[in-house]
Amino acid sequence: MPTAFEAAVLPHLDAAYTLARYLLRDDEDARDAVQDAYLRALRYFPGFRGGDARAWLLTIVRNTCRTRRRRERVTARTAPFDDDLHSPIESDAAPLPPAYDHIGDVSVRDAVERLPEEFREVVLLREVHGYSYREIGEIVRVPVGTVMSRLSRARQRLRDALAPSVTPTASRDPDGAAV
Amino acid sequence: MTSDAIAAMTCDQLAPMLDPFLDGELDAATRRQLAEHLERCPRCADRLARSRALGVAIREQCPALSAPDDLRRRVQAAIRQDPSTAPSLSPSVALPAAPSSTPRAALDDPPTLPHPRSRQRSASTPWARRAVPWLAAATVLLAVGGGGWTLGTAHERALASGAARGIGADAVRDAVVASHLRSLEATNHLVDVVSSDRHTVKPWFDGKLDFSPTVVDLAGDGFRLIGGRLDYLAGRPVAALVYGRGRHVINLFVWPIDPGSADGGAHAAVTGTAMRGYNVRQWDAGGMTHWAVSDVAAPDLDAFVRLVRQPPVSPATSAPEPR
Repeated sequence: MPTAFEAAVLPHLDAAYTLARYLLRDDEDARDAVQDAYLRALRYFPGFRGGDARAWLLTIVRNTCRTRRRRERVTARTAPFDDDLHSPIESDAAPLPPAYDHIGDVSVRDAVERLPEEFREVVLLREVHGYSYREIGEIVRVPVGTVMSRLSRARQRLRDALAPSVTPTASRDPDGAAV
Repeated sequence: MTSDAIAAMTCDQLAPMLDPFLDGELDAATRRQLAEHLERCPRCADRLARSRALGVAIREQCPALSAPDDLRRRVQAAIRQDPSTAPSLSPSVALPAAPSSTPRAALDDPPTLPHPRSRQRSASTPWARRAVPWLAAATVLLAVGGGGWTLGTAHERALASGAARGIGADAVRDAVVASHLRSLEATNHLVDVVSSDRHTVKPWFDGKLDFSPTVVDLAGDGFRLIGGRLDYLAGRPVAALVYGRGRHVINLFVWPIDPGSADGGAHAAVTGTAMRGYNVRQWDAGGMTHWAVSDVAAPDLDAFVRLVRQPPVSPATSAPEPR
């Protein structure tokens, strides 16, 4: 017989896995993180005030992934997605990697996965999970204004990285009015 | 934002509004004005098209995924075997060294478990042995989270009372600390009613709770009342009384002892733990369960608890109200 916890939280396993998979970029890590997150959710469940159980769960998944990545980084002594390290490379000041010259199945996803964690999570929560700025702010625990600015900067980076591939399609869009 | 404001803005100034426009995050008036601008400004329309194309590309290439079947089974198994939901499961059986001693009850959960297909690691490992380390991890979590001198007691109580309440004391403590943390975050509210006057705070809870918490004034002892908040813990609405000491905040959670609980009223003595850098004190008195959480030093929190349990006889609490 499913418990109240299972009834409320288990239906969101796909969403939890999706977020963890894109945040951690490794399937096995994502599975472990999701299971870890569910155990944590079980402990926090008495404090769940009702409302959006999916958002509540994703908050825990996101925090679990952060903890794992931080631990990983300390262990590996590397910081592969450090904001400062990557921004000069991905900005328009540097030549774009050839992989971004076409819309392949990997390039946009690669670009998303290369975003610093703080940017990647807001992009995922917005585009993949469809949350509003306010909801993202609750999940990520930052004010709405910060969500907006992170999304904006993340998308600017993606546009810069994908410029050769995305722009031509877009400017030929009849709705684009750029005739 | 007024139409004038939009009309007066340059394209570069409007650019940051394009994403919120697409995200449906602009108010109706601003949205309308921006749409008008977009109709007659090819440059902004082109930017908008680029943004839209990016969104489409992200959604196409980062689609929502389905959790693998074996993950679903792992999660279900882990939940059902968690000590807080399976009180009969002693923590010692969760040690990976003794998988053979794991009770049948803990292992017979998914009887129809097929062999995992896609993952080599899964396929080569019997699921029960995979689940056991998770139990160990859960136990370690408890141990690390407890970290205090009453851990054994708290854990026993969790196991003992879990059956009656469905919620272990550890889970409640976790929830209490989590609630304390939430209340301190800028995006959340610390108090629903802001007042240093206990005669304002106490009546505020009337009609919101099925009990009336005792609110004491401890300002004379260095614990000022900040206010009160309605919170939700252990499956019920509770009173959160918020006190301040210097720049530190103390959350005092109060709710009636569950008469159905196995240990109702049995914990008049104060138990204390530290968790994630926060000190936690719990005691029962007057039919109420009390949890105090704070980052103040342990002796300060102990002093606070003593004062709450035996409020000082002072003009603040004994004299007729001046107003």
